Amino acid sequence: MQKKLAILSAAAKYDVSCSSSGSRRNTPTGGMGNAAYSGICHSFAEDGRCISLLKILFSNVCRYDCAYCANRRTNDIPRATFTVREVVDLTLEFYRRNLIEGLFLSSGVFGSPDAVMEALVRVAATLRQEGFGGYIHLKAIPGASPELIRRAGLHADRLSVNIEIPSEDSLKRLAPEKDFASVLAPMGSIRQGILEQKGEPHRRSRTPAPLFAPAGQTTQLIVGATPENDLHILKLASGLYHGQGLKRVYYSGYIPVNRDVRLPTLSAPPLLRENRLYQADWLMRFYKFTVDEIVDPLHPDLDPELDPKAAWALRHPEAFPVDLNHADYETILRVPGIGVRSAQRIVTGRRYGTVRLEHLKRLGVALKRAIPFLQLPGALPSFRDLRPERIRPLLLSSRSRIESTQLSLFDTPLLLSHG
Amino acid sequence: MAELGTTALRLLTDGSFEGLLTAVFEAFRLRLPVAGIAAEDLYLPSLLEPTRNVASDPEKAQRVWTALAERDATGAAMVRAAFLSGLPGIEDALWRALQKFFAQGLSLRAILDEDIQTVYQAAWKVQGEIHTFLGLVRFENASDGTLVAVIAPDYDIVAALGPHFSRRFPEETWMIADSKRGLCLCHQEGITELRHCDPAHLPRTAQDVAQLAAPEDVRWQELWKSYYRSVGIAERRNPQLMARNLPRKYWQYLPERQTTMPEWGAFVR
Repeated sequence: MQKKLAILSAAAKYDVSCSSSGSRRNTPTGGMGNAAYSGICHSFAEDGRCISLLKILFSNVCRYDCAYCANRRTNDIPRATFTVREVVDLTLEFYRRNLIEGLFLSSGVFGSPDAVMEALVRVAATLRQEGFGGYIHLKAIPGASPELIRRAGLHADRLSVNIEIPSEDSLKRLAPEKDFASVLAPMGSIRQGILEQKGEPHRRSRTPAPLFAPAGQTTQLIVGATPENDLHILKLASGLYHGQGLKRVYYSGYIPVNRDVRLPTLSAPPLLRENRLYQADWLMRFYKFTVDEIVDPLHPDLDPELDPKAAWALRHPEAFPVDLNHADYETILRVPGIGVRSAQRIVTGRRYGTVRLEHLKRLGVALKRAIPFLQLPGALPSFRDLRPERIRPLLLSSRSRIESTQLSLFDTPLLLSHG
Repeated sequence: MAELGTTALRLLTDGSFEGLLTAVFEAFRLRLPVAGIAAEDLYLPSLLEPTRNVASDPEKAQRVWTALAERDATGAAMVRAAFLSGLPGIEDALWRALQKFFAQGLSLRAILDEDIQTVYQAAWKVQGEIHTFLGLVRFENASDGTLVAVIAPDYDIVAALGPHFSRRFPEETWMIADSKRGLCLCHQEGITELRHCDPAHLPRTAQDVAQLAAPEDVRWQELWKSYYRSVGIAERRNPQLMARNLPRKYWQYLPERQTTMPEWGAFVR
């Protein structure tokens, strides 16, 4: 069992989705476990990432041979497959000791897509039958029947299908046995299930509609294995948010797990680029930016030296300075150094008084970065001249600090509460 | 009340939240010129400052609490959380904030006000620690099936964990002990209560806690540690980020963070 767990958790670790947020499932009568809407971290691994769910593969046996995947058919690695009972016991015993929020279950494609999906659904169904109310995140296996996806959604809090490779051309090159259509089909079934559940309040029966993946669906894109630029990736993400109603898109900096001529050789995973993409993603989801404001054909890649919000501000001197005492919330959100929380605090606080320079630090504003963009009573407008080339060095000087805070934001479920 | 200068009183309480609320009640009822509130056993007497002891009175405390909670439930929750911080001077800030709230009608959301901001920030820290411990409580399964956990939080938050764990594990018998303060949150047959327990009898390390587990239970502990090791990505190893997200002070009772190597091993040649 210990060996199996080691193999099948190591095989699952490249899936970066870890969040346990977005669901409010209650503890079943006589059972154990519920879902906390904000998500809860139970530990942090040596790589600094939150451990919230028992993240494992049902099996790492796979009939596909995708160039980027550690579990591909032609790799000579130890293989293992759990039984349904083993996964159920592990989940319940870990959960009971408060080690996890629930289960994240994926799998290699060891048989037909339906056979694999069936196994995942059986694990989730057994857990629910045994009174488990904790969080369940299931992978939808490309090629599985819509009926199995529907059954998965009735037990799971969240479903996901990984696109992995951000363009069809690259996908065909690296994973000749796959295509976009097979990934998008289950995504469509999940979306339909979620919409049906939301759309039909079962007015006559008075019983609420059964939950269907209440925490929504997510996907993952591998970054840096293929030549797509940030413009392409963020356009795809934006389309998934708006077109498919996804809750989250995860970006996974490519880690060269295989030697393969079709893949680049990297000395280290592109963590800075990954971080910039998350920052851009945050701007789209919480800061009311559109993708076109973040990247455009003239600036197709995010600036490695500046976070995308500061980069936007420098491209738009006409939007500043912002008067914190009168500007609306959306405008305040766009000031570098001001986050969602501090913008909310400013808008709340100013109803009872005037926001002054001396308040800002305690309201959580990163003063050094924000000050060039602000107009405040009591503060000299020392940066009236908002020429980007003058402000840029000021922002760079505090770069290391910005990065450290931003990196730690990423993947902490507490902060995913909006998602 | 500033014009009363040195004659302003300091009210001394038994250090409980009830005591603080009683003191607020008495200050208003008797129109006392109050400079601040402090717990009697932590107060350093000063020749210049007259004091007055206030005995906790559940009824008076309840009246203040109701007056507060009915007008602003969120603000009331903030006041209670800030109190749990036990930060130096927090009772004084709470007194001034509550005085402004009751006497001047200032909203507890007016976070530009210095006292309200102090209260807000203390509450923010406490609520952050409560959230952290929802994840960091580690239950061991004792031979009789009782789940036992020990924590050593910075703030007095063990009681605040009650609602979450009662909802999550309603059918189990469990206990969460605060080894710093000698408090035990116990849940049995659907009822959760806070009891005092002698810190001397509580485990001090993760190994001590592991002793509480039934012998056949050690394997789950080992499985968890093995899972913890294999789920991290070596190419992304980042101990600084890990320590920032999971501060060292919390490692004491986490089995997965117990080092098997001596701390200074790297320096041995």
